[in-house]
Amino acid sequence: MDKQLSSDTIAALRDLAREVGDARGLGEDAREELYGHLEDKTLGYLSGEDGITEADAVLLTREHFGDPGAFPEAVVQVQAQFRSLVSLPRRLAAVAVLTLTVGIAFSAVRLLLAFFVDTETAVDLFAPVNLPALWVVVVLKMAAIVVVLRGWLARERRGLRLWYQDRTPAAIALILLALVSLQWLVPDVRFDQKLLTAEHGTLLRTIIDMPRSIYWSFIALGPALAMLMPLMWIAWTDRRAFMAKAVLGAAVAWGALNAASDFPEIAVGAPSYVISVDSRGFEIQSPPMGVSDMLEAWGYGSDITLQSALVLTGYFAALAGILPGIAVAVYLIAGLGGRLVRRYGELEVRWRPAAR
Amino acid sequence: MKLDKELVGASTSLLVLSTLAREATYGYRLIKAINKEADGLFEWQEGTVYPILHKLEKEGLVRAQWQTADTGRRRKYYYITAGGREALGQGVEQWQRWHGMVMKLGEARNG
Repeated sequence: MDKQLSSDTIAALRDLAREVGDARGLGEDAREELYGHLEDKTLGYLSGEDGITEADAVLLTREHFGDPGAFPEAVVQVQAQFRSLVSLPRRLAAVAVLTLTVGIAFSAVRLLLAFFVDTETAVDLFAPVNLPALWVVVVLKMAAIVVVLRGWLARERRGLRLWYQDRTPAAIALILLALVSLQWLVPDVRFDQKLLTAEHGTLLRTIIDMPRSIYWSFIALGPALAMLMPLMWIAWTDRRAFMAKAVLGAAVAWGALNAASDFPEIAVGAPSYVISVDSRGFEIQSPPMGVSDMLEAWGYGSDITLQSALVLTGYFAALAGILPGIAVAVYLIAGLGGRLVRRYGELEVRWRPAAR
Repeated sequence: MKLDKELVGASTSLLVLSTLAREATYGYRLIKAINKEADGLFEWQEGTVYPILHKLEKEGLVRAQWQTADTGRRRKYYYITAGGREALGQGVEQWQRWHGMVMKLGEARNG
């Protein structure tokens, strides 16, 4: 019995002695004695000094097999984990479809509110200077996306199939294209510039009259909130274990979707409804600003040259890349300090004790 | 042949005391020694010996002392006391008389 027990075994025997001691109300002395006995017995088995009876063998067999009650559940869990290994492109397509759908839904609500509820309320709620309202909308959008993503994940864990696992790539591409188009077609609620100086609702006046420090803190909140969206995408794609391609893929895809969503608006203009405070009504305004207008405003003339094309490319690349870039950095930094950095391919199955 | 549990149960204290009278030891070794001597006639469960040891300790028939076993680990050794030896002697004598009576009655039945 010179063999040394591992620290894990000693800890397990200590736990067992404590359990028995608690159950029987034993004092410290008796517990220590009990532990000694358990240790001797274990060493006796390991050295062969203690033979194994048939009853012992049955106990060992049962222990190694695991809890029969937990077994079917564990099998389902393990299978579900394998079933949920959705490919990265499908995961990206799923979150893109969801983001676009939620965006369109919010735009539609905003439009309906402006049309059918009250013009002044719409002005108060959606004027560009009403930052708190804008940020609330952003938060609500993200909350809606998180709720749906969590629902999808829960279904994945249960081993259920979801639409993004079964549709063909062509069908998913068509859905995405349709949503990008629809997003562009849903008119945006815009505001006549006179709004900012005209007499308007109480809420808007209050916000405009806020102390600068408060007002700017709302402005600063914008980028922070906006960064949460690509972070959410990254968290959604980086499911199984830390995967660089999932993190970068999500960031790039998020930037690409935003660029794709914004491109038609910038290139050909977007349908817009402009609320005029003076008229208290709606009018359809022609496209607000195209690429040529933008170039002219920047002093490059209205024609697209190599120089202006490079400037435009850099501008859009920066727009599409800044937020996801920051999001990737935040995610990686958080991951270094937390549980997000995991070994690739590690799959823990804890439904039974490890075999000796 | 396994012995009747009640028969073994009535003699547990004597078995423990007689084993300790040979050599002071700790619980685990004591059980192994007794089971070895029993040679299949009975087999004590490990949990049963400790309450007996603690009862004997309370009665002053054995005394316990923590010390390092030959394995290098701390174990609680039990020593038979003078009172224990006296109780053992009395117990053995009672068993001998009991044994004698049982044998005599058994012979009478066979005769």
